[in-house]
Amino acid sequence: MTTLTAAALVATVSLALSAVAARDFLVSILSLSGASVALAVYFYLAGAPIAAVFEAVVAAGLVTVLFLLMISLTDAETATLIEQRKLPIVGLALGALLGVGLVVWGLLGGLSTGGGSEMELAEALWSRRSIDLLAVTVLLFVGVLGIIRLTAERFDATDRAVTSEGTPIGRGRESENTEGES
Amino acid sequence: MTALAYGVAISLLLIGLAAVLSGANAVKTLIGIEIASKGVLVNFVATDPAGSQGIVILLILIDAIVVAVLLGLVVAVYRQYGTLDMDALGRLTW
Repeated sequence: MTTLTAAALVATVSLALSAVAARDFLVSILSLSGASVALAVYFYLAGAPIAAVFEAVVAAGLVTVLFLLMISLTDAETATLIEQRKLPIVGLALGALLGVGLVVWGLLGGLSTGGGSEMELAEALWSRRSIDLLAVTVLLFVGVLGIIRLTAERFDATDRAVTSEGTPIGRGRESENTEGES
Repeated sequence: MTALAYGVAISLLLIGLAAVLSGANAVKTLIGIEIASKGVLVNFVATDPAGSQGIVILLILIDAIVVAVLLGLVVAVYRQYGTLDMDALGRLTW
């Protein structure tokens, strides 16, 4: 059990690093999904089975599908390389990770105990956090409406924002260059 | 094992923060936000697995909503400007 928990946690960090480091968006998204699955395994082993189910279904399923949908909508495939002047941030992050790893290595020892039951969760959700649940439901509807509004086919700002010659505004430097030459 | 979980939580937060700060691309920034939120979830579960289940579920749902809205925004920005490069999109990046 303990080995499995440690393996799940290490896999989560490794896949998260892979998601950030990979240039190909598809590799990044699939790594993020894998990290969510590993995190769900950790939740289950730590004694939070329903949170594990939510993590696996929502984070590993729904969010991954949303990312893939976005990739297909934007035709973006690879990220640009990190600029030279921003590399110190990556170095600092890697150094901090090393520090955290050393501290954890020194502190390793205690075992986490505890287990959840479905009744405790139901009581927590429906009696003590009913307003939170209502707020989340409203937020879900607002989010869905926002997605429909933003990605609808008819919503295209360039259709309305056109110059007198009929060329769209905000299409980048090409349109500006052609206007300047003419 | 709790120490390892706390370490993983801080590591995920750091990875997400580094991705947000150094990412030249909007998709990478969103992935960084997602990873940082996973760090928060690990912290909750490591502290109190049974008692924090409700708040963890709420956080997962709110996280999915935030990502959905931001992805819609990214698609709208791509249709407007034709790029996802953060440096090309505005002067708020450094």
